[in-house]
Amino acid sequence: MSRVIALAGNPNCGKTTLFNRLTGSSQKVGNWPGVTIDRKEGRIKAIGAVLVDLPGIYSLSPYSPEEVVSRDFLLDSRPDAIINIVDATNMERNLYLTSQILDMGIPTVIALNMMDTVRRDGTVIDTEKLSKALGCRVVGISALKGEGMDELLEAISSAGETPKPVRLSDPLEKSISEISGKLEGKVPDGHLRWYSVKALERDVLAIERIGESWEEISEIIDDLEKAEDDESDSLVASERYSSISDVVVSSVKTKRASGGYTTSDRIDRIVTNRWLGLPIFAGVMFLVYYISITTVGGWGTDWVNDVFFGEWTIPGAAAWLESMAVDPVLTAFIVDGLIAGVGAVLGFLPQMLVLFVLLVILEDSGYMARIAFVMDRVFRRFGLSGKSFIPILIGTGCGVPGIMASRTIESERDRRITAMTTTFIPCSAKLPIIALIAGALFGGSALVALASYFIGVLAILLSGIILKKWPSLSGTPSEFIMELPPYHIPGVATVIRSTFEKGWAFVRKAGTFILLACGIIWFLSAFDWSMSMVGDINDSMLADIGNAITWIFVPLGWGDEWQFSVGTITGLLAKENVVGTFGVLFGFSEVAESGDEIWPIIGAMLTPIAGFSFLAFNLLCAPCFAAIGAMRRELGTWKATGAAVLYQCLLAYAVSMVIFQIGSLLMYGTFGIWTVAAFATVALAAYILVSKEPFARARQKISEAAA
Amino acid sequence: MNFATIAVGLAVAAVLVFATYCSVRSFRNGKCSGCKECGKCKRR
Repeated sequence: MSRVIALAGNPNCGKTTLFNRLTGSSQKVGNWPGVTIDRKEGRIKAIGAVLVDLPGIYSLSPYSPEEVVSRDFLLDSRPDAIINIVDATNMERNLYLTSQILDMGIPTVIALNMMDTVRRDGTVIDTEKLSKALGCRVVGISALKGEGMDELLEAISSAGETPKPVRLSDPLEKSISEISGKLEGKVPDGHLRWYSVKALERDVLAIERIGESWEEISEIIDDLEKAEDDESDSLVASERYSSISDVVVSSVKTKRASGGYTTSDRIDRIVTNRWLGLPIFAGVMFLVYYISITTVGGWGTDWVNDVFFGEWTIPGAAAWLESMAVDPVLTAFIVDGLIAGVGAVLGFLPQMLVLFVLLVILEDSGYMARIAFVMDRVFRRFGLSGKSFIPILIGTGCGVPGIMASRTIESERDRRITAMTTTFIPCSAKLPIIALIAGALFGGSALVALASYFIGVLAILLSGIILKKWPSLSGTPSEFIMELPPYHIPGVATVIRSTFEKGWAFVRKAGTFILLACGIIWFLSAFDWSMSMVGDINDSMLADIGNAITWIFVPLGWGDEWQFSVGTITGLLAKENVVGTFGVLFGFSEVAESGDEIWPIIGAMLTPIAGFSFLAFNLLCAPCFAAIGAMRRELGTWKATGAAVLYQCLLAYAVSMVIFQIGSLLMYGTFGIWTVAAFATVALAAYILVSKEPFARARQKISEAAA
Repeated sequence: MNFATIAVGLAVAAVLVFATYCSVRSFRNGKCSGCKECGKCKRR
């Protein structure tokens, strides 16, 4: 059986980068804490071992669910060895976890990462001295540049000795020894020291596992606390830091005078400034969308639509099938259904790739971690914390990992609210809808994309207030402590790999699920209920289905045309389907033949306000099935998931109705019963936002049920 | 129905069956979208 090696360390110290380096994998890496939320396995072929990458932890007393994953793995699976990766630029804090890992009695190798940065700063670390002081092998590495990998692999292969734990003061060691006596035979032998120290710290999870012996142990701790006049956990932490400080002083020589400003500090003084932080962020996001939608990405999309599909693929496929005398129905199915639908979606790939490149650069440089810090100030006013911004950040790629990233939030209530609202932020699948509406109705303006992003943020903030007033979700926001990683120039390989993987996932989805959906949409739009091919699409099965539901969307301004209702419904399966459906229904395949494009057709069917209302609804309503499945996992029950989806749909409906009705009143002077309904919705929202107890009756019912 | 229609029809059917298989597998595999960001796709 292969040896199992665990990779453990603080958040954002380079664990996943090292994991990828050692196993040849390409797992997601990011320059902010909390990228890894579940354990991952890979094989180190050079030594025939299995490497397990664990979520980052600051100590072995976890607070959030993903931290529990790490501790439980180390305790219960008892790996053959641990690679404890330590950020060499921040040794004291990282070695705090090391001191706890050494208590576990598992052979450990310390990988001192970011040695290239340490050298650049003029700091010298004596790894030999450090190794002697800590009682285990220490190897200097740079996971990003691949330095020290051979030595690390050699150290892992030969790791077999049980490390000696960090020694604390005599009174503490005496108490630990007494506790060990009580726990002997009741906990695994290898973990005796670890359980004893954790019991001394009154660690809740350790106490649960210790069970009956706790009463006797508690007396030992009470005696120690009386004698030392301090709480036991503070005593242990203080002793650990004191030992670590001694180790660092003896083995590290720093060149730079403390107290000076680094380049990162200087940049942070501007980008995290109380007044400038948000405007700078808005400017950066505008630039990102401007480059990806209007300029570079826009040119690429124009080429793919007009030349690749318009001149080459569609006419080429049609001509080839015709020359082979393939049945016209099958030709129409392939050209007007499959190629037109998938082509309409893939046309946006260049814009998405440019967006991915820019977002990866922002993430990897460390800027996005600063935005979480800036947003904390804003989010806190609305009942959430900056921790809720991390899932949002991840959700700009795909809502599924965004929802899963809500696990990094300690407070269960905040975690649930974040899981319910993360998909409000436009994910990559929604970008084609944004680009389509921007192109068809707003001359391709990047402001539409920026507005979509901030509508998502605003919806999250307003939902924070509304949901925090709901009895089962109320409570103070989680504390937000986040280490700001130093800025660095993003690695070219990371940017290319991350962009390629996201782009490939999009292409794969278009080639499988979207292809299938487009086939079904074409079939339903080409035949009537008696299975006869229709000349006019308005006589088709799909038109009947669309017309049966389209009245629901009349107050939102796009209910008169059934195609938009059908697009919205197919978007519930996957958001790319909205554009794929339009590609089939509005004849994307006819671009080349008639010179007419899909955008002017949509532009002629909707007013700009109705188009924006359609966009807002599709951004905020229930996400795709995959994201709903992820929400179900995080929320725990289908009932809660159903309630979350209902909330999302109601909010989307309300926002879209307000945009269309009040927008139409202001722009065209249109007034009707739905304008009144829109104003009533605004008044209701204002009441819920301002009132201290808007859901008093619900609270009372819950209290009665509990009683 | 000529040979070309049958051949192209079978090829399209095969592509659609494969697309269905991939879509169903993707959803059954933890209802994921296959974006690879969470690490589940490569977890063994």
